[in-house]
Amino acid sequence: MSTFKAQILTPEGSLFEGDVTGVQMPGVMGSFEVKANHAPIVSALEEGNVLVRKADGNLNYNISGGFVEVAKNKLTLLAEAVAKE
Amino acid sequence: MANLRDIRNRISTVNNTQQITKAMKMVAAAKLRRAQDRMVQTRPYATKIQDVVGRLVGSSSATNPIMRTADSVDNVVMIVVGSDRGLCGGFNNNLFKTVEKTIEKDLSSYNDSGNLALITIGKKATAYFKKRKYNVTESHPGFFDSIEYGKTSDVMTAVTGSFIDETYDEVYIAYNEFKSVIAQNRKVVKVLPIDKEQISDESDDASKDAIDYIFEPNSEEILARLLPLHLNMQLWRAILESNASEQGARMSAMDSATENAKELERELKLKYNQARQSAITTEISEIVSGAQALRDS
Repeated sequence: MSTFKAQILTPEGSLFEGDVTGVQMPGVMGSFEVKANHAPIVSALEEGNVLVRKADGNLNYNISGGFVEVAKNKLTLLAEAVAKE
Repeated sequence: MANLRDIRNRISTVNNTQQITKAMKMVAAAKLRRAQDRMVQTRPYATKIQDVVGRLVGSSSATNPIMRTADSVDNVVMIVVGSDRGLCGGFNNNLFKTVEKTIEKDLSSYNDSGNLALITIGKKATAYFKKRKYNVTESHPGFFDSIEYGKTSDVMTAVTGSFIDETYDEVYIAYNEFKSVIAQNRKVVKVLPIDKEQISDESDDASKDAIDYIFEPNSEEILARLLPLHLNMQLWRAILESNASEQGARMSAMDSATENAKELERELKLKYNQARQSAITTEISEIVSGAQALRDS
């Protein structure tokens, strides 16, 4: 499965950085998932659960809302408060 | 000639003080490193927000309440970021002087009519401005006991809310910018209303690679959600910079205090030895003359 780079940033530092196969996020227009080679997008996110799919297992995060930017096979998720589950 | 024991006591006092200032310097150095780390950790988040805001802000319409500009500026609020503790040289006083000068120069009419509100962060800022009868509407003493993003965003979100409901028409932040360990830049910046051109200028280099983004739901909505985050970030950065500057200022203040103590100790030791020597000389001459008198008799 093809992977891409993902990064979860908060004001207090970076929480996750690495290669993933997919990231599922709570967009304001409904939950959606980004896979490799996604078109460039900037989307606002609601409060909710973020699922990070990695080759060696999944990670769950709770975010307070924020936004995500995908460009050139790199995903950057910004949120003010993130808690790992 | 001063009493030998007096000098000895003074030497030990100076020595004790020196040990304290030395320890404080070391503590400040460790805290400074941590403060600098935090500043670095914030950077990726800050750059990204700056980036996207810069890209979107130009295309925004006037419907966004955070982008409003008042027809006449009636009420102004300034957030002053000081410190909780002293013993950091001119760190607080220099900033407060700058703030007072700025108020006198640009905002004196608001201050005279009571339309200038101050929000003070840190014990020292609170004490200083309350004592001088400024209109301090909100104070956060003990803010630096634990520096948390949550506390910062609470303050800024409240201010942004007051800006939207037109309680305030302009918002300033005054803080010490971290320039180097020994130097701080005193800064008073206007954060609201948002200066569109400045923001797009700052993010110019990064956003030049024009990627055609899909905006979901649309750029307006994203900007509306993003601007509060951007503003929170501004205050957060001011607080982290101020914290690092404070530790730097304390470090250099304590360093020069230690140097002074060393110099003082050296002088006192010299005096002590002189006194001791003359005491010995006197004693010898007394003994010699005593022995002389015995032999003569």
